[in-house]
Amino acid sequence: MSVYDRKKEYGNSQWALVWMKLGENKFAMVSFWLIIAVILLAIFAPLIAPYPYDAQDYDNIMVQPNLQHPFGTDQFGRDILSRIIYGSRYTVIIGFGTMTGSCILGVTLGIFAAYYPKLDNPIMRFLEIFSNIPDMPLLMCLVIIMGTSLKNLLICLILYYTPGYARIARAKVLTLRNEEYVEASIALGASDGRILLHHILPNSLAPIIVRFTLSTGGSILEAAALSYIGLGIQPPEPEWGLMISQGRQFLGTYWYYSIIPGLCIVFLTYILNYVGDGLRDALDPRLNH
Amino acid sequence: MKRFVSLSLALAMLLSLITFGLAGCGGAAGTAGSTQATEAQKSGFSFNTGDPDTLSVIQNFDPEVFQPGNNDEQGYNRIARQIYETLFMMTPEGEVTPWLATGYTWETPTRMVITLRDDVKFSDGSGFTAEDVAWTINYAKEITLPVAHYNVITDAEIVDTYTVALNLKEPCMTMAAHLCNSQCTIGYKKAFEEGKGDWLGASVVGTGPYKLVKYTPGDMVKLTANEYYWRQGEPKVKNIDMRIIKSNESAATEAKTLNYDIVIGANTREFDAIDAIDGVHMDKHQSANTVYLLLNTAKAPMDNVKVREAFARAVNIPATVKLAYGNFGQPASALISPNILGRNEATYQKYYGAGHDVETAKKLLTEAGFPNGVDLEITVESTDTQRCDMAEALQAQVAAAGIKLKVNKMESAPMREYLARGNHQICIYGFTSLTMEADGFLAQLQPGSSALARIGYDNKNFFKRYSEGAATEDITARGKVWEECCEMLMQDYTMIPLWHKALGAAVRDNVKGFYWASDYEQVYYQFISK
Amino acid sequence: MLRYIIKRLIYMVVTLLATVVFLFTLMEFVPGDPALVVLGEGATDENIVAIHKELKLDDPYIVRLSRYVGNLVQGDMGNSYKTRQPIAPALFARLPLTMTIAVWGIIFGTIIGLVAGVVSAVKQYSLFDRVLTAISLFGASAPSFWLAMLFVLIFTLKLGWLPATGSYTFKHWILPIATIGLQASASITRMTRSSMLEVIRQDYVRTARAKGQTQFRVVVSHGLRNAFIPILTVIGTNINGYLGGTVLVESVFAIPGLGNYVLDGVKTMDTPVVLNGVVFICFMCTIVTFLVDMAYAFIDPRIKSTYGFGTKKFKRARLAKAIEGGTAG
Repeated sequence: MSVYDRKKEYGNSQWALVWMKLGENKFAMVSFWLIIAVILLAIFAPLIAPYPYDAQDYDNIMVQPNLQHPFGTDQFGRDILSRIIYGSRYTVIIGFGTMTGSCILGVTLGIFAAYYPKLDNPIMRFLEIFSNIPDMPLLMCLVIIMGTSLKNLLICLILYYTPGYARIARAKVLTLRNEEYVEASIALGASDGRILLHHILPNSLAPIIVRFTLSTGGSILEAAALSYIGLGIQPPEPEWGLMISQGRQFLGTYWYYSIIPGLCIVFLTYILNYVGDGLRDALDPRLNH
Repeated sequence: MKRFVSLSLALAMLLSLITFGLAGCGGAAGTAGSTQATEAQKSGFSFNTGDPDTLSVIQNFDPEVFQPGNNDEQGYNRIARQIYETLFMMTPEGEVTPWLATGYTWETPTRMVITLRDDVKFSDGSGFTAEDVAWTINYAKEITLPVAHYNVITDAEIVDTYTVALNLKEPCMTMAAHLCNSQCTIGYKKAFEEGKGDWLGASVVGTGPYKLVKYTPGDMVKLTANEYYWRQGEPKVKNIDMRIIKSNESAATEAKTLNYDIVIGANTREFDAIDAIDGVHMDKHQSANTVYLLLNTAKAPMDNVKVREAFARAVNIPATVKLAYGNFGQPASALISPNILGRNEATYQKYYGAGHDVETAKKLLTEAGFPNGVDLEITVESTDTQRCDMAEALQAQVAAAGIKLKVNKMESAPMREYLARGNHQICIYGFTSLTMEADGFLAQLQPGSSALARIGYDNKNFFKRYSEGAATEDITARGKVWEECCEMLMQDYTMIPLWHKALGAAVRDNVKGFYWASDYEQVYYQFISK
Repeated sequence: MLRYIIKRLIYMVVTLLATVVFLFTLMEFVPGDPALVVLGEGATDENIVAIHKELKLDDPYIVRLSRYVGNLVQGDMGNSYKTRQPIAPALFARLPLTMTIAVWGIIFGTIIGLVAGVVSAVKQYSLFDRVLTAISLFGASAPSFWLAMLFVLIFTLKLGWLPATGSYTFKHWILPIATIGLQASASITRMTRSSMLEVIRQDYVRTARAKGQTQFRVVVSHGLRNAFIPILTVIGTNINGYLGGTVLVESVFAIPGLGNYVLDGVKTMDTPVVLNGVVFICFMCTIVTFLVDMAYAFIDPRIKSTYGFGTKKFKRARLAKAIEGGTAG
């Protein structure tokens, strides 16, 4: 409340306000910086990782965690810690790549559907068919057609997450269209493009951003699941879901092999969800009063 | 409040209604198999090793159907072979013995006349005749069942009640050994016609030691003794309860619980751990299958023999095999597995004996015109963890010789097509000498067979010698021809043998008479007692 | 009301039909020759031609589509490439297993989620609230197959209390259902908590409390009842997700359910199995969505009185509600 009161009089922008409100939620802020840290880890993986991710060492096979290998080694004598560090690259690319792709595609479709009533039915009905199919079966169908690779995995996930964005964008635009300031600019003769870019898009961002953060975690889980059942990233790439799957055959004896990559997924998804929750609270105008 | 409670209750009821409604519909609409499925769940089916009349077994294959020759997978026939039987059978020593047949003669080199036993009965009590044999083979050819052994047969004709003749396209002296294969089991014509081809119910009638009691798709096969079985005193155990677990990790976990008499398909990495447990041991056996690196001689740059030789020198086979299989099975010591006619270790030593040598590999690559190394791709089946592990290990080994190896993992069916079209450069694949002679493996590399594309080999002399070998009746002379054919394959570096496959099953110590049939990885439960 | 139900039913059938056409078309793009799937290792050129003829693979797309839809309406799903046996019985036989895991998982998840959500909303910012929020966030962040493996590691391999695989006795069901239940309860707890918090601040709740009603009565009769709509949405989407998503849990616990059946189809390139499996899963999801829609109308009298059924306004309001629920879940 205090932030709102203090800033209201100075007419600070909406986004600065959101940032301030997010700052009040300490855990969300910590999580936010942790996400930045994971992204940096992914970018600088070769500098940080103690070993290359694919260096095989037949003398050190299935070594228990120790000082040289904090998380032990796998059946090829590869350092699991290094593989996890490199693996963060795939996770970050998949998580954020999927969301950026589907966000752009979905929001564009949603806005068009809402703004041009003629397009509304065809676009939304098609997307509805798409979202009618549950996640794993749809992804399995797409994978069987396209085959398994990072690129195809990204395309599949983008297609899967598009309808959600389209629906949010459309619903938001539909309500905004009837707002007085939009009607006013229509009356003033502003072009469709201008209205969309200057009035509608900025004001429909809030739910889209919340969905973006919350679904990033979701897409990471989906990708890991696909890799787990053998339809996602292929070895020797060190994707976390794949590492869980490879470690499964050693669950009885070397449990850390598959449990640790899982913990990494939980950690990243957890902080993403936390930031998402924080953002939702910060963006919710009802909670400002 | 009341309204709320009643509405939530209504919702819950609706949800459960569709759940069980749908499930119920399923039972009514399905065949006998599916109604039994729900019954089995209701009765809380449990496996019990304490029952002396029942063998509890874990299988790693879901048959989905019980039709002779429906599927060419070993796992499928390991189950179907208990219900249907073959005309001939391979002894543990690899000799062909008559089974449903009493013997055969070659009327001409392309006409095989088989005489049948007259005391064999199907599990419904009616007699087994030549009509059933002829029908089984002709029907399989008519609807193109995937039985490769029938490819050479033109048709089967009934000579009299207990005599049947097979007309062949070309001479095939090992035909009797082919007919030992569990894909060549014999069905019952009358049951097929009266059951309208219901291969889960009425048509499932065979001469085998067991008959089908119930099948829960994906989960369970229950068999019981055939009271009309023609061999006295068999099967030794009255019932078999088979559970289907495809995941080898889960099978290994179950093997350790000691709840099963026999567990097939446990993860090889857990073998030592299972062996260490009191009351259960691993029954290991040499198979007739060898796993190879197949080099596609038709695809650049593998069409250059120097590149192929360089690849053979760049790989470290013993280390790779140890990594994937530990001490199970053995690293290749010849082109084909031990105890197979046509095996020759000396020729193997001649071509592959020098082993892993990065410098020679580099030198050969330079001679081949690739001084800066070469990019290659290896295709491997994604569901086979061990082969994937081998591919990853090879990838690291050949990198030292300047070969950048990309691992291409594919599911079995698309991979089969990818290989059949010859799109691959290298692949990991196993060949089984089904007849306990090299021809079981060489036959798959002849023109007209889709497997030939895996090595893209075009050597007229090789094909000619094979045909001559197939027409040779004398076994020693035939063995010499097979050795010659194998040497040609090695001389041209078309394939690098990796691992002589072994078979393993976790067997409880009180189970007697378990053995693996090397030729097709079969298990004959009728000889097992406990 | 009846008109609304009929309208929704027609809409449901049309969507389903469109989904079937869409999936059939999608399967057209599956690479490879089905004949090789049918024939296995020993395929020869002459056999391949025979299979093409037998399965009528060379007919034009539109002929095969109408044949497929026509048969499907009559309950005939065609034959599997691999086994050449009818798919429908095999599919129905696997259904009870998947339904048992999904439905019981959701039921347990809902009960736990509702209780935990209400408690943490009523005791907002207490230690209890924070612990429950953390646990539910963990449940929403953990991959289900990993959670299942963790359970196997702890309860089977370390403690030896429960069996690792199978679906035969009560004990066998505990771990799979617990996995789904924990995941379901996570999103339900979060949704319940946030909608309860919203409702508790409303005037009528304050009034009720001022009138001296007990805390329990206020929470249940006023709070929970009005918070139920978004919660219902979450339950609806969960059932939807778990009918398809049980494949992961099934694969860890070696349960031969629907999901494993479709996955095997994917792995062997048995397109009819994949197509029919997915069509069937969609069919069940559509029914659940329909029921959730009906439940909306029953539970929230505001929707009924304000908008009336079947109007555009009603649909839009429902959609908006659903989206609110969706972003929070």
